[in-house]
Amino acid sequence: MTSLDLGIMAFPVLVVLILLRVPIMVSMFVVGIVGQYLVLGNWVPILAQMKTLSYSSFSSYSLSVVPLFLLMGQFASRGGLSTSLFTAATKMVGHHRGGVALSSIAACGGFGAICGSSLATAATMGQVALPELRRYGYSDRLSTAVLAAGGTLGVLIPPSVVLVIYAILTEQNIAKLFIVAFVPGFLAILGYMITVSVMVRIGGEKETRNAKATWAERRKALTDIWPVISIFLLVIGGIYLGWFTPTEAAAIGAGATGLVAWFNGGLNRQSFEDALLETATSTAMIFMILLGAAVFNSFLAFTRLPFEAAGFVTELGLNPWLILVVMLVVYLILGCVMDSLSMIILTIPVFFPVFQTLDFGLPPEEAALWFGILVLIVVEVGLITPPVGLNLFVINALAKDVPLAESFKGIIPFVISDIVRVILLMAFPILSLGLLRLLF
Amino acid sequence: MTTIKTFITAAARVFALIGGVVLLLMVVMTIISVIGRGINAYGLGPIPGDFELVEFGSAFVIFWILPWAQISNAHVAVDVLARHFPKKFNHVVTWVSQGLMLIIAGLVAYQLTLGFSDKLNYGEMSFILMIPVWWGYLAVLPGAYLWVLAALIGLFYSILIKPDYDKPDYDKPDHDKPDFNKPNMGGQHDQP
Repeated sequence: MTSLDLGIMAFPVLVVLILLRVPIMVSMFVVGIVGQYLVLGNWVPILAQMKTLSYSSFSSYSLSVVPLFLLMGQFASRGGLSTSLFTAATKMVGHHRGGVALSSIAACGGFGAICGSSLATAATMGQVALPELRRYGYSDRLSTAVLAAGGTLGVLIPPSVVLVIYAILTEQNIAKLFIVAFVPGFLAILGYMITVSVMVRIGGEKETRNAKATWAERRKALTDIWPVISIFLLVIGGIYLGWFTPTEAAAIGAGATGLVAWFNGGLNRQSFEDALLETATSTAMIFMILLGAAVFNSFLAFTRLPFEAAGFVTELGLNPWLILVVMLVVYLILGCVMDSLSMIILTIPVFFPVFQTLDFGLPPEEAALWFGILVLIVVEVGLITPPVGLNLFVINALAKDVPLAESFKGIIPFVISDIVRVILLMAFPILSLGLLRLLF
Repeated sequence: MTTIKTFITAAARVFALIGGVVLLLMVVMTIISVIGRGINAYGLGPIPGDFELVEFGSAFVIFWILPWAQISNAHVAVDVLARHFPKKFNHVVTWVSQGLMLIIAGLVAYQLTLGFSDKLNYGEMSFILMIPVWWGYLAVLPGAYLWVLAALIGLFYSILIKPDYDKPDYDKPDHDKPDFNKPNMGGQHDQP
């Protein structure tokens, strides 16, 4: 058996282990290390590599942005910002039909601007918005679905932990990736709002409507969310203007959000400890997978599989669009059972070299950034699709009386809206890349 | 055994909090450094080697929080099929996984120790601050070894105590839903 065969064989083995519920980190680590042994026929170099692998994987400057953004999200969740965001959103769009649902989407979008994680966004905004949605008479189905979908805005709108990992794996510029994500993130808010409007009109929702807010009320509500706006501008603007690196921006964001949370009385000793411990858990989970992936990827490099796969796809001479669609569909399928980061860490080392051989008439860097956004959206769809839709679980845990099946039914229109958005962004790369071309 | 578990859980919690505090120190250090760079013109400057300090800090934070994640069983796993497997089979998979986890943790910790002694012998220094690299390795070793202990406890409990594998059936309206109140990456994540 050639080492390339071993590389190809490794994937089904990995998938079987993962489906047996062996943790993803363990599966990748074990397959990677056994695979390396089969290729090299010798444990010595593998063990020698292990002397520095863990330390060097964890002491990476660019990866240090991950715990910092997670800490920022934890502070934001406890900072009392969600209530003022929701109030501001209600004042702006609450008087339309489906106003409270529209406000929930807008508030999730606002929270996503200072939080890089979907589950944190869903959980935080869910606590504020779910009681309101139900009080105004929205169906359980729509109330839970709108917040689960809104939660994905946490990652779709920069800063975004998933984009950071993509940028590091593919060696792209994080600042540019955030810029490229901006318009698609805005389209996501718009798409979800259109979905809500359609659903309240044809879905027979019986909701009571808010009175239209006066401009004075609106101005007051918008001033109340100045911390959110200024932190977002400081973090994203600072990265874009080159004032600081993404890691520095994340540190500043975490510090500023922490101060805001403290001033708002959201941080006592207990909640402060909780914030640190939850940051620790999420960070450790990501870095353990990254460690497993480091072992697995060095095995893949020995087998030359990523390189050969790219060559193989080129030889096939298929339409690049077809290959792109196939890759995105793979993410949609994987997303039914896996979380977004694991999928990206697992697949990008093979998919990205393949993607780079495809010609879409874009310069290589722009194509890589565009691909990142498309992948980001399809992996986020995984958070709201059954049977494992973590965002739905989060919201459903807040509304224990709602059957999960109801939420899954309610989410379908939002998934359709996501797919329409992916198609739009594929057909018109300028939607993502326009802002980048304008700014750089 | 319960006492040992309580003790290791408590230790892991303290380690994770120390990791969190170091992360906060990284935040403060970075902010000071950025401000220093911003007012460079007035004779102040960024903290020298801030880049390296973040790298040292980052490795420290990650290793010191690993035991907590391990004892909380915070691993991302896919349980969509496992829900339909026999309980006994799932139990075997669980303790085999825990066993592999222990081997991985042990391998990482032991090789890291060898890496530490290499760095000590070669006297490798960081580029800017000239900090001996072995300091960094030494500082993370406690985290790595507590991780091994946490994995050992995990293996012990996964063999001895058969957890209830009755996962909720998502199609039926009446069931206990998984408690996902706490935001995390998902998968099997139960707080201790």
